[in-house]
Amino acid sequence: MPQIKNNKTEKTYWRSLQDKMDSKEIESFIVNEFPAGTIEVSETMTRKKFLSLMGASMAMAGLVGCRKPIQKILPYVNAPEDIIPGISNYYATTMSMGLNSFGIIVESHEGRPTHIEGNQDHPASKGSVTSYVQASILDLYDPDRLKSPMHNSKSVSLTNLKNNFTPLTGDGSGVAVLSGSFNSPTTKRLYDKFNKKFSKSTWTTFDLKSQENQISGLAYSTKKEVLPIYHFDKSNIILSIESDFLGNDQNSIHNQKTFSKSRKIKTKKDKMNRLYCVESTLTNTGMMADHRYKIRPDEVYNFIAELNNTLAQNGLYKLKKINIKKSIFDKKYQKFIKVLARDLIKNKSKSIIAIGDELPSELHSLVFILNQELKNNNNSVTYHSTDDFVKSDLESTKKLIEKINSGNVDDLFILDVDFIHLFSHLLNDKITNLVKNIYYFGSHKDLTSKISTWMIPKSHYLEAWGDAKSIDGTTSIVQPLISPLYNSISINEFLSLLLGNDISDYDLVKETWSSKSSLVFKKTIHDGYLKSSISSNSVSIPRVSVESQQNIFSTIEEHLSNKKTNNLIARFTISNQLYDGRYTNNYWLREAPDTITKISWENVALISIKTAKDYSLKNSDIIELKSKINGKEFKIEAPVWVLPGLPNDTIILEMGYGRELERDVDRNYIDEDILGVNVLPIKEIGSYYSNNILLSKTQKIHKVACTQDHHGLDLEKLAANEIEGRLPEIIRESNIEDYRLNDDFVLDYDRKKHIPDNDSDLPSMYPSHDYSKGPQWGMNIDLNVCTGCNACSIACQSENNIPVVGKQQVMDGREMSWIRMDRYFKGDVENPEFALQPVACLHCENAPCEQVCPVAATTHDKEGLNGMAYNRCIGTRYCANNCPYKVRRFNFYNYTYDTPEVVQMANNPDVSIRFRGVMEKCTFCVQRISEAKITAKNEKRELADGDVKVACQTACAMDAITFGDIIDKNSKVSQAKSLNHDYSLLKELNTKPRTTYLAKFRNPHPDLVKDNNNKEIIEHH
Amino acid sequence: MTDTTANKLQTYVDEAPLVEGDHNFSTITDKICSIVESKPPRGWLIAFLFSFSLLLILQGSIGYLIWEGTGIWGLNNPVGWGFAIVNFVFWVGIGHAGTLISAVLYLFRQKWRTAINRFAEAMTIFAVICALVFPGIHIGRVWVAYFMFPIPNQMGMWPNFRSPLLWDIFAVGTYFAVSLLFWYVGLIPDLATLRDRAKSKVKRLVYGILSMGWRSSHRHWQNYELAYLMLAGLSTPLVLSVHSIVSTDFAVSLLPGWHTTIFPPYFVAGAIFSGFAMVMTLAIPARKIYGLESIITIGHLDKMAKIMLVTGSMVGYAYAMEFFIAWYSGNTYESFAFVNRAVGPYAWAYWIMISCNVIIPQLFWSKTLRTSVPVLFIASIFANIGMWFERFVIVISSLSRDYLPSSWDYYTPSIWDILMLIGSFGLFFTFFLLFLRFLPMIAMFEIKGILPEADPHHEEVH
Amino acid sequence: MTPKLIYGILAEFKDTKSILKAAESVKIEGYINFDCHTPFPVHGLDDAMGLKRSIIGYIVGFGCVMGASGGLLLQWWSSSIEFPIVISGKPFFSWQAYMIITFVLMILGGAFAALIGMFHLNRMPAYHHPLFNSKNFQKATDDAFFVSIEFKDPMFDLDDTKNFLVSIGGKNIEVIEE
Repeated sequence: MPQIKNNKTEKTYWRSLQDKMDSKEIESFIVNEFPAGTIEVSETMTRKKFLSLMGASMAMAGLVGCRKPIQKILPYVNAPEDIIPGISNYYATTMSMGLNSFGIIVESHEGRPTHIEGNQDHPASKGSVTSYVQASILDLYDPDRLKSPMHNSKSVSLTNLKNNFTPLTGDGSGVAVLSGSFNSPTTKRLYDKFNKKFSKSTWTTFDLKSQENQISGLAYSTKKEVLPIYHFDKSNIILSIESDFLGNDQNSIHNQKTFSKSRKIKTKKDKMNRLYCVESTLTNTGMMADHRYKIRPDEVYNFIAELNNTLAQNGLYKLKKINIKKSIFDKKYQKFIKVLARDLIKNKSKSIIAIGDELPSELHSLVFILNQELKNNNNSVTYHSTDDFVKSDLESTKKLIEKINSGNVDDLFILDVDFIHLFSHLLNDKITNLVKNIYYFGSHKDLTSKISTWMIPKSHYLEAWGDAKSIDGTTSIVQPLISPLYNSISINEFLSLLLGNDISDYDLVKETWSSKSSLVFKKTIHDGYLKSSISSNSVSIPRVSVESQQNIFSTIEEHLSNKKTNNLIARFTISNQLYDGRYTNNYWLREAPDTITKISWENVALISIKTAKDYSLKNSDIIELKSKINGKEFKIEAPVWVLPGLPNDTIILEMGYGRELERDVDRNYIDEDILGVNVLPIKEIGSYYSNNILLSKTQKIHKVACTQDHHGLDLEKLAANEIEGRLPEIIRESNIEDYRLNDDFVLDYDRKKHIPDNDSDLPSMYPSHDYSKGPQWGMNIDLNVCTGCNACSIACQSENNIPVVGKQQVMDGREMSWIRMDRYFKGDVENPEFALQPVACLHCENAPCEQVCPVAATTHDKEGLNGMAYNRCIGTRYCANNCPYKVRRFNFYNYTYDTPEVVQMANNPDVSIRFRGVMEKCTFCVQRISEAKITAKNEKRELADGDVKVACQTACAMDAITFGDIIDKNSKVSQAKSLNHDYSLLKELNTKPRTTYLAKFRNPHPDLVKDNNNKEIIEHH
Repeated sequence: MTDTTANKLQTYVDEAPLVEGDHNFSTITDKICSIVESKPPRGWLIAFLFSFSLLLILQGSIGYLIWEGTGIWGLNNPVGWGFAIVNFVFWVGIGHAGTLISAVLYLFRQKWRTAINRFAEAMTIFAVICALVFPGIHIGRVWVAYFMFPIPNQMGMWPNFRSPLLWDIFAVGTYFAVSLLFWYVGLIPDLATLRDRAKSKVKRLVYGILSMGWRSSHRHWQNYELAYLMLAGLSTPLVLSVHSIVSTDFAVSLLPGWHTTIFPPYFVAGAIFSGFAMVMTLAIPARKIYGLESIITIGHLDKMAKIMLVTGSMVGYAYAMEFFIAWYSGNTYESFAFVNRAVGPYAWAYWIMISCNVIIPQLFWSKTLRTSVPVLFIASIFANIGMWFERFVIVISSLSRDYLPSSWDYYTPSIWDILMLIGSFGLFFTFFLLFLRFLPMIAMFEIKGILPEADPHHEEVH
Repeated sequence: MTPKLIYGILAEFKDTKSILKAAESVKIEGYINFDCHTPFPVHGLDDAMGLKRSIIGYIVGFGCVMGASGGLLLQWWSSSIEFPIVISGKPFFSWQAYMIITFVLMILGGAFAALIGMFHLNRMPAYHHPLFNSKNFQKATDDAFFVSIEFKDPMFDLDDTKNFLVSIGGKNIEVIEE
């Protein structure tokens, strides 16, 4: 116990690199970061939503057979009967992404879809969303979408296209199709038809982020094309190798949901899983890890090999040892692997080894074996067949490029893939000289559309009928919420057009589902998914004999590196903001700062401190990166950013940026030309890192918009030490073992500072106001499960019409996001630990902002909400100055005055748009509260817990946020607040915040605790 | 003046004679009235054109501000207040010396004040006008500024009387009104003098109206003097309260570096310091240009220098005390706020402040420096700079780094911030030069009142 | 040509000392409606002329009371009766916070009372006054001292009064017409 106490005090807190460096170094390194969001979930579908859905389905029954709901963009011509002006409707539909698809409930106001929430019962979304799903609604209203078909850059009417568009005749020789992978049965049906009809044609599928290696690796061992689904709720020990299963993983919602189940602490007795993370980048998963060990991407073979051997030594005798000539890992890692192996074995069948999709297939095979030997397969890891999916295929993509280069492609059909962005650097010549006709089916005027003879606009998924499958096999129907805003068609319509017949996508879907009775079909539309299909893909994998897998071990043996190298490696990752680039024009995602770097709008070249020193680089320096790919030399230029916890001589590059789009609208405060850097040229297609990169520093500087410690603030030791002293109060945390001995550790700090335990004992000149009559709204945020994904802030942005302000304003420190995700590093710069804290308005009972407002524009209502009367606000900004949490946001300019009309359609009509010169902040979604109250009143009942779900809460897949009536002792929020490790931020100010936090826990392995405080490791034999 | 009378002067003047040279009632009148009656000197014209062009800059930038929004300033989150508030506090502070000289010194029967009180008061009024400009324009929605006044309205809404900003409105508003009354009442007899000397009909009409039919009746003098005394009596607590109330803008908040009880006295001391500095800055050129050395004597400057020395040291003491209390409080946020001032990113501003406000006034320990006009002039200008930076340090350094390190940010003024600061000086000097041109800059009747022959018994005294 | 009405008689004296004496003797002589005119307040004239203390003090006191009570009343009424609203969880009538404006309004009330009181007692503003008819009287705001005895004084007699003023050393005796 005392020893643990020591550990506590020995932990040093700091916020960013410069905090850790003496002033000299500071000159040279400046790191910024900032907060991201959280994810949220709703337990059960609220009564209201259920009713609206029933209503919706009734209405549908009447309208089946035509595009429905038939709605015109405002104003109505003839209003559908299921629309009551002012009352929002909720429809179930599905958004598919890669091989997975998420069931969602879309809120629709007078026929305008405005907000997306997860579908409670859909296994892939479980009522929550990712930031991508959340933000996808903005894409629907993207003013820069292609508005009508183009032929030789002349626009053509849709009917004209449908009548005269017959590019394909004969057997399809010389025809090539390039598409992304898809999971829609209908599209698959048309795909098969296409391949049958045009037998000579080649259909290639390519994803920048693909599961191909994983599938082929597992296929090698299991002889089945399957993907794993992890059940973290069933596991105590989790090892993630280069896997960001909590972050940018295609199944992240499921992962987060299950992960948080074994991470939520209520009492001393609760168990908590332990997450080991080994990675060459820095991911959300890594930030959640109890033990994070960084390795260079070229060391991953060695790591897994050594793990394999150690497991073999420590009990998994069936495993075959891999012959490692010489270990490249130091004592610290050696010990880590030993402890890890023992921990895994101790928790047989209750552990998971998850590895990144992009790792080579043999490693996936080996990890499969390891999971099998650990008895995890079919327990904590289940496998699901991918036979119904059309999956990304690298080899055929390479072939396609060759074919194009050798001029063997006459007609190239590109289905929603920015071909030029991805491949132009691989072509020998201008594509127009290589291919006769290029037909591009896409949504934006990007580089590919420039070179295509035909350009057919793609409908947004909320505009078109379709269907989709999730990895577990759940099949669902994609129903449109609105008829296409522009002259666009769905991919299914396009394919059937290619097949020579013009059939509406609704009929196409109907046809696919003809086997199902129309009642089932309707039910599926209503529920959003087909109940019977849940986990229909799951296959149980018979045990695989290790002997049969010999050559896995030998292949791995070949790839082992025998000595630590320090050649520069570029490691490519998928962007947290743009995914693979498809969200280039989604300003919500663009502006939401990256969870880890806190940089918005752009990508940068992330490097470790040591590397920065070695190459004498500092933040915002532009570097030139050269790499040789089969003989050819490629180079890119990117600004440098220093980040702690990265392996040395490794440059992390986010893909997906640099997609040039031709835009129709130009907005005042948003610089559309900020695109980031396209890093693909120096990436070898199919590999996730490039060796032997040549780095040279240019004299150029590129200003980067970073939302925490702006402009490399607090360079001095002074600030570093101060933050060190402050964080124990701001973010209260404890090792889980500690907590078992001392469960009110959150008070330790207060007691040291002589702050009374109870708010009521804090001295005050005034009697405190009586808030005893319910409902009294309050919120609780569990820091222990927040992964810092941006879903909550995007959800808030969508729900509350928060404006996008553009890069310059972000650089000026004027971002508007109501939820600020504070992120702090702690411990040593080489191997830091992380602390995340979402901060929105805390709705203090003694709100400091209120007393200073000269016009009483911000005041308290009787339910304890700290309200803002925008019309009364004159904009003195005094409230913001006096807010100790700095959660208030000021409209320095009239940011919304040039919002294009179509984008305005995404606004929530229940929330007013704030004008220039007005202060704004989180309102606890007051509009949702009153909606719930009205509903309850109409139904002549009291408000029940869960009637009100705020936007951030529902979005959070980790269930970190609870909201409700704090007077009702049985409400979830009261229970959360009653926990011992619940604390209020800056309590001594006697602001009495209504939002409180649950302390963060860490669950380090006792034998490794010392390492975390990077003390000498005493080897014991 | 005969030697005997010169000796007699000593009986009620402690040091040098209040009025030097050979002056009697009519020479005083001529001297001071001639300034108003004759054509302005070249220096005045140049100065006026210059300051008027600065005033135009101010108007321009305010126009742009209202058109574009507060975004044109360097403000951000967390630094919600910038130059505008700094200038406001600075200008209010400047005003204080005027009231102090005219009211407080009047109550203490400091006869030497008569030479400077008139334009010290004028300075007060113009400074307060400059001050009032900024809270007006710094808000996000200027067109609804009237929400701040307790006007019955259809919304049935009332301002929040707990807000220090509202206290400001009342305090500074009252201060402006009272100073104006005080100044005007003081002007009436001299306006009458101008009326009686007026050559042209227009002048007679204008001054006649302004002087309200003053006929130097003693029955009037009796009420007049008491009323003046009363105004002085009221202005004294007012002047002390105004800057105390302005300081509550900060003291009442809970921001580390703002939330401190020392502010009221420390702000008042600072105000007097800066105010006297400004009087000095104005008086020295004025007496030169208009040859008033005999009325605004070195003795006056010397006395003002002494006051600057005292108040400057008081301010210095306050600076030291802040640090002590911050450390003594044991509050980490508080102590960091002050350490951060001294060595943080705004250290440069902090040390400008210290050297101008604390170190430079120490020169005035030496009589020779106190009585050397150039030294006084330069020192006074430094004092003004220093006091502006004091407000800058308080407002910005505290805001830029408060409780949660995640929201720390650095504030850099935009060109508009700077233009508006310069422009406000244009506003101030334009008004002041107009005052010099059209109104008696020295209270003639009071000067006459302190001449030896004003005392009915001055021959008998021995 | 209507006969001009007489306002009174104006006599000039050379300095503060003589005006003091003059005032004394005019009082002793028994005149009531007389006045002295001096470029600046001459100390001792009050007693010389036998004037009672000015009542402005009470007026100002009244103004202060009105200002303070009015201010407090406004704040109490508007924040607890007319527009009661919870701010920072403080009581509707948080008197501690209201003291400042109360105090400031007290000063304001007093100041205006002082000004208005003074104007009222002096019957100001008035653009014209018979004395202004005298060219010589303009010196009154420069360096000359005058005694004026009004026609409406019961003891007023054109010749006697004139002689009397001469006897006490008055120069440039002048009859002022309305």
